[in-house]
Amino acid sequence: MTSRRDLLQLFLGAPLALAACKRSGSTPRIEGELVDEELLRGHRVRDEGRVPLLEPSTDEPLYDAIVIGGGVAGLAARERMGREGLSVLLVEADSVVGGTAKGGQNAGGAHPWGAHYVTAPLVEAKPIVRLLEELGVIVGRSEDGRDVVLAEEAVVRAPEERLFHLGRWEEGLYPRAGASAEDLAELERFRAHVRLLAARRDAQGRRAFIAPLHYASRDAEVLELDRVTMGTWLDREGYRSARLRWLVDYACRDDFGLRVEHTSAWAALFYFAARSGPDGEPRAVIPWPEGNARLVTHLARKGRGSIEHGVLGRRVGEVGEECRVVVEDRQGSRRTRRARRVVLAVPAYVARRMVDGLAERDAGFEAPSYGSWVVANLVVDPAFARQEAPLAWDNVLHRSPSLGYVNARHQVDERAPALALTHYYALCDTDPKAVREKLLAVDHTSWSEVVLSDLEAAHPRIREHVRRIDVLRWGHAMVRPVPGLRARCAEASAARPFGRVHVAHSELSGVALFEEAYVHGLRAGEEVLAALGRHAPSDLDA
Amino acid sequence: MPKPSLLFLNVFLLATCGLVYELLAGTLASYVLGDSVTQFSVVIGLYLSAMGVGAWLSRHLEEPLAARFVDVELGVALFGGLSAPMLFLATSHVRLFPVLLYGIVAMVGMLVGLELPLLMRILEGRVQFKDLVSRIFTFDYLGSLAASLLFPLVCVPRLGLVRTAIVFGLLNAVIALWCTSLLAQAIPPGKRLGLRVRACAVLAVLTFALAGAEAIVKHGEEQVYADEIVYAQTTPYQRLVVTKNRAGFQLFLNGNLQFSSADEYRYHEALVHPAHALAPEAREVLVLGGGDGLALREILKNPHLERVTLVDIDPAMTNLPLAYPPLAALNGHAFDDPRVRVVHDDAMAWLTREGPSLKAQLAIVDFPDPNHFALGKLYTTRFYRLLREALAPGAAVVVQASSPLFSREAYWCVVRTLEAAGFNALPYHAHVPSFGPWGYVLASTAPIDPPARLPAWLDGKLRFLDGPTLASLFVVPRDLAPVEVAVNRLDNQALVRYYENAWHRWQ
Repeated sequence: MTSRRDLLQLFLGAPLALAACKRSGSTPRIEGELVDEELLRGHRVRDEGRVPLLEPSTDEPLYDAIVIGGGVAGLAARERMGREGLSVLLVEADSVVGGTAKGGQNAGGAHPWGAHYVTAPLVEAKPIVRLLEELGVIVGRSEDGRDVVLAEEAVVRAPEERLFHLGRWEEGLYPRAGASAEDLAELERFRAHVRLLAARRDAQGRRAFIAPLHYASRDAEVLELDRVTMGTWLDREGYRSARLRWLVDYACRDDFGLRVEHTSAWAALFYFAARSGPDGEPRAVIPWPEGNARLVTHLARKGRGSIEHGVLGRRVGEVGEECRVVVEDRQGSRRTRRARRVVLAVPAYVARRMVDGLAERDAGFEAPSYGSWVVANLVVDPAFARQEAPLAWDNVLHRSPSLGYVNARHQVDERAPALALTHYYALCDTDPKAVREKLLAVDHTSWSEVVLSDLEAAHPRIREHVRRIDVLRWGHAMVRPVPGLRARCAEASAARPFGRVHVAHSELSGVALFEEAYVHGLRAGEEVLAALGRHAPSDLDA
Repeated sequence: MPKPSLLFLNVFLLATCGLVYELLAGTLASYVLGDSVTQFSVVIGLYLSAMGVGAWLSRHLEEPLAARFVDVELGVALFGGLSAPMLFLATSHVRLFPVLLYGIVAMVGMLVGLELPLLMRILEGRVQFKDLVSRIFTFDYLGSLAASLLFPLVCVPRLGLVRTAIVFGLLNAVIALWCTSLLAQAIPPGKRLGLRVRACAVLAVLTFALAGAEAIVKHGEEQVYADEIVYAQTTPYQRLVVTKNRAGFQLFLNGNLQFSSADEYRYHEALVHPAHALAPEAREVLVLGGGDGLALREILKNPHLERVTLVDIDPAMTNLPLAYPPLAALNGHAFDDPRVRVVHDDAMAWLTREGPSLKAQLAIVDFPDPNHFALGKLYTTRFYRLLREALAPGAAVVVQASSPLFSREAYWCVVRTLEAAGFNALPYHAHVPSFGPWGYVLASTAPIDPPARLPAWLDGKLRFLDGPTLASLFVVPRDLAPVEVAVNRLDNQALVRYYENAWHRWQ
C-alpha cells in the first residue's frame, strides 16, 4: 500500500503532491467505482494464448460478414455493408459499443469515457461531411463553396477553453500572463508556420495535412517531418519560448499521450495544421455531452444486423470458402461462427493473436506502442459552478501533468441536478513496464484522491462539491505516433486484406482520430462488398 | 453591596442586547435562506429553548457567582458581537451558513439564559424575593421593548447589521467590565484582575472588528442596497432581493435592479404596447423571462387574448408575488388570471422542445441584462432562430435590450443579432428614471414601420404612453446612434463581452 504522498507524487509530480499534502488530509471515501473490467478480461485472454478453431454446429448460419470490434471502425464497416444488403454480425467485447469513443451516464447526464469531440471537417473530407450532415451539425456550404456551414448549436459554445495559470484562469490554452514580447512573437511565428503547412497542397490540390489522411497528399518533404521528434523540430526551427513549448507539449499529451520529446514532429504539426481551415484559422470544435458516443450511437442505429455485446472474438481462420470465427461470451463459453468475410476492427496487437500468419505477413510493420489513460467522471454539485468563474468547455491546469477536465453539460440547456465533469489523464511514460505498474496502482480510492488533489489547486473547495467519481483505466487507449510510425503507415501494407480477413482501425493511419477509424471502416466494408460482387459507388470518392 | 438599582439597569441593558442578537440572527437568516416566516420562527424557538438550557445549567455554576456572571457576560459580548460579522462572511457558503447560524443562536441563547438565574442568586437574600422577581422581570421585559424598537428604527437603518452586532457586543463587554466594580465585593480579590483583563481583551477584539466592519460589509450586501431589505432569497439560479424605501419597493436579481415600483409602469408599458400596436389582436402570446408578472399585467389588458405562456427558469421568481404580496398588488394578481400559463424551464430548452407547436402572435422577451454567459445565450442568433419557430407568420416580437446609453455596443449587438437571425428590427427607447434611457427592439419577420397608434382597447388604461409619446420612442438621438458591432452567437458570446466592457467603463 503506497502512502497518499507517494501516490500523488507518482501521478502529479513532487511539487503538486507536496502542495496537496500540505493542504489537507485525505477525505472519506467518495462514492463511485472502477468501471474497467474489460482491462482484466483482456489480460486473461492474452495469457491464455490462441484457442483451437472448433467446428461450428450444424445449424450455425452463414453471415456475409462478421465484424469483430464495435469501435468506430467496426461500426462504420457494419453500416457500409448493411446498407448494401449484406447480412452482418458484429461482436463487441464490452457491454456497450464505441471502443475509446464510448460514453456513459451519471447524475449529471450523459458524459464521455474517451474521445469527446471532432473538428469541423474540411469540404474535401466527404464521408465525414456527409455523416455530420445526417446529424444536423453541417447545415450547408459557404457562398464560395470552400467551406461547410455549421449549425450554431453544434459548435462549442464560448467560453471554449481556459487555463489555470499563475493562480488564475486565463481564456484560451496559451499561458499568457507574464509572456514577454519574444514569447508572443514566437507564438505568432509558430502560428504562421502552421498556416503555411496547412496551406501546402500538391499538384492535384490535395492538402498535406487533413483528417482523414485518405485525402492527404503524399508529400515527401512533409513525411520527412516524421523522422524527428517535435522537441527536436522546435529546437531546429529556433523555437525557444518555454510557453510555446508548453502549449505544444500539452497538444501532444492531449492528442497522443506522449510528451513533445517523444512525439513525431509530423504528428504534432498534424495536430495544429489539420485543424486549420481554408482561411488558416483554427477550425471550430464540435463536442457533444456524451462525446463521440453521439457519433457511435448514430452509426449503430443506422447500421443493420445484430450486435452481440460482451462477446469476444478469440480466433479467426479460413476453412474452404468460408471464415470461422471463435467467439467467447462473458461466462467463457465458446462458439464457432461462420461468415464469408471477416472485418477485424481491433488493434494490431489483438488481431495478430487471432489470425494465423498475420503477424508474419506484417512482420515489417512493427506493432506500434499504445498510450494508457485514466479517465474519471465526476458528479459535482451545481453550487460548484455558481461560486467559480464561468466554466469553459475545456478546463486545463498549467502546472498539472493531467489534461484537465471537460464540462459535459457545456452545450446543454436542459436543467440537471448536477454537473458532469470528465477528467483526463494520459500516462506519458515511454517505458511500458512503468506504465503497467502505474496503471495497477490505480484503484477507485487512489484515483479519486489523485483527481481531487489535482483539481484542488484551481478549485480549493472541490471536495465539498463532489458527489461521485467513476474511474476507467484504458490500458491500450490509442496508438502513439512516435517518429517513423506515419511513414510505415503511409506504405499501407498492414491495411491490405489477409485472405478473406479485412482489417480496419485508426492505428493504420498512425493517429487515433475518429476520422481515421471511420474511413478505415468504410474502406474495409467496401473491400468486402467488392469481394462479394456487390458493386456500389464508394463513399470515399462520391 | 452595590446599589440594586444599578444592577436593575444592567438587567435592562442585558435584555436589550439579548433580543438584538436574536433579531439579528432572524433577519440574517431570512436574508440568506429566504422564507422569513420560517426563519424567524425557527430562530426565535431555538433561541428561547437555548435560554431554557442555560437556565437549567445555571444550577451547576457555583461560587464565586459574581465572577461567573462576568464571564458569562463576556461570552455573550463575544459571540453576540461577532455573530453578524461571522454570518455575513459566511453568506456565500451554502452549507456552512445554516450550521454557523444555528450554532451561534444556540450559544448566545444559552449564555443569555444563564444571566438572570445567576443574577437572581447573586441578589438572593439582599433584596426581598417578591421585589427581586418583580423588578428583574420588569426591567427584562422593558429591555426587550427597547430592543424591538431600536432595532428596526435606529440600528438597521443607521448602523447596518454588522455594526449593530458589534456595538451591542461592546455594550455587553462594557457592562461586564462595569460589573467587576459593581460586584467587586462579591468577587474574590485574586480574580478581579483576571476578569478585567479578559473584559479588556473582549473589548479590544470587538473594537478591532468594528474597525474592520467596513471591509466585512463591503463583502456583504448592505453596501449594494441603498435601502432596507424586506425580502431575500437565494435560489439555484440567482439571488432575489426586494428592498423598500419611501418611493416604493425594488427588485434586484444578483444585485442588479430589475424594477422599482415607482416607475416600472414606464418600463413595462414601453416594453409591451409598441408590440401590441403591431399585433393588436394577438390571441396567443409568449413571455420569456418576466417572472415578476408586470409585463403580464400589460398583456392581460388585451381583450382578444386567449392564452399567454410565461417561461421563467426560476419558480422562486414567479412565486415572489405570493411571498411578497405588494408585488401581487402591483402586477394586478396577473398569475391568478386563467389565461396565464406558467412554465418553469430554461427558455432555450423550452423553445427547442415546445416552440414549434406554439404559433404565438406576440412574443415579449424580457430577460435580465446579459451580464454572464448563461444569460448571454438567450440573446444569440440561435435563440432568436428558435424563437422564430415559435411564432405565427408576421408575429410581433419585442426584446428588452439594456441601456443604449450605458452599453451602446451591447444594445446594437442585440439589434444586429435579431437581424442576423432573419428578423426586421426596429430599435426604440424610453426613459425610465430608475434606469435612464432604456433600450428595446421591436422585431418581426414581416416588414415593420414605427407604429402610428396604440390599440383602441388601451384607451384610458395607460399612465405613460399615448399616441405622440409612442411616436417619440422611435426617435434615435445622436448619442444613441448605431455603432459597428459583431453578431452574438453561442460560440462567441460577443454580447456578454460588450456588456462587461461597458460596465467597467461606467464603474
